[in-house]
Amino acid sequence: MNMRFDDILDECVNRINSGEKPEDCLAQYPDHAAELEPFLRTMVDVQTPLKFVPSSQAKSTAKQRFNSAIDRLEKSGEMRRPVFHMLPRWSAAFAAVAAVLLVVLIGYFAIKPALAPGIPDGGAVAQTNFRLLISDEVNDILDFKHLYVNITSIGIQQGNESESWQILDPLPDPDEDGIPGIDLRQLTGENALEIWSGNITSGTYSKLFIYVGNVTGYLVGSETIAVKLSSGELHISTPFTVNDSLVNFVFDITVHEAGNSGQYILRPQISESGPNKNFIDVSPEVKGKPDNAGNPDDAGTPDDAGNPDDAGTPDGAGNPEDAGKPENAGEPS
Amino acid sequence: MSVKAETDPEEQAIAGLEVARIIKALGRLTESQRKVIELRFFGELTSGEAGHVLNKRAGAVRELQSAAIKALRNLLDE
Repeated sequence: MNMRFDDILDECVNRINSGEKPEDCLAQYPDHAAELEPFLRTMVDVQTPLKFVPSSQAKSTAKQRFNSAIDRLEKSGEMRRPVFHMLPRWSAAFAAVAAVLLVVLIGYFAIKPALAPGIPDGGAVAQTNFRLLISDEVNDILDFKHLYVNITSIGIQQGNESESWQILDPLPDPDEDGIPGIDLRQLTGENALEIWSGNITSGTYSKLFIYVGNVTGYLVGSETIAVKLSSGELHISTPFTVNDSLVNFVFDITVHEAGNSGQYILRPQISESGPNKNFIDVSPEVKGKPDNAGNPDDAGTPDDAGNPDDAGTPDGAGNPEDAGKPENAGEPS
Repeated sequence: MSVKAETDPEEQAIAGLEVARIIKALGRLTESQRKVIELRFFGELTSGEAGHVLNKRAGAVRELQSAAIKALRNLLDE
């Protein structure tokens, strides 16, 4: 089959993005190699300088510092204890009364909508039925002290490919640290940060993308070097359905080296993304609450709603302050 | 050449010049050409996915991609 040059070039671009060398593609299409070579060389010439390459020593130093910090925390006993250990030692009777009051309060708020008269439809405010949160699957993020990702827009597509995209505007500073965008370094493991919430049209959606404006990384051990990656789309095709129930959609991003090139790439982690994923909500408005592990109201099966018992456990499972867990950083010395 | 951490000042200066040259060349492309380069080279989207973003067919994206890379090559060789 005779492939058009544009199709061959497109295939080669895909393969180089996957980590292959241009020479591999040229070898597969010898009849087009002479014409292809300048195109593929251009791609490499443009991609390479705009991707940060930390030195081996810097990476090794970063990992040593991280392991030392973990050792220091463990020895000083500063690892966060379960919230229940911080409560004052109340007498058994007082504790029982407090438990009863808690049950009453929960019951009151649960039946309050039924007790209160309904409001006319004309005055009803649309309930939030969709939240988009960002998380980071730990790969090479630990090489960075901070990795600021500025998300400029969100797109969701309902139905099939002929449908148009709906564009949503994300929060300008979701983690409220004074720096536009989010710091992926703080969102490792199951930590997830809300970047948009609101009401979207009920129905089934087929695709979701986030558009990344700027990515700035600061390597551990370096005080002056800043990484700049060009803008781009991160795109996943995980279907989800939205109705009256709240859907928490976790979009997981990961940073990893491309092969052994020392170059870093930002990619969506499809297996960790979607609705009904376990997560620890570290959004500013919910941070600090003990019951912030996942959302039991998520559409989907109860088994996918997260485990509140994971919040603040001694081994740091899902604890925001333990982002970058010991098992991801190698064995402590 | 890549921008590396903890290199000597001369290497950093050379790397910075190369980055500036590439950014300048990208700026001289048409908006459509620059967009497809960004999505394919840095966003690593497939041509089909880029087509969704650009509201073009995948075939049109591939043609635009070829033209963009050719134009970029000419600009870098100036």
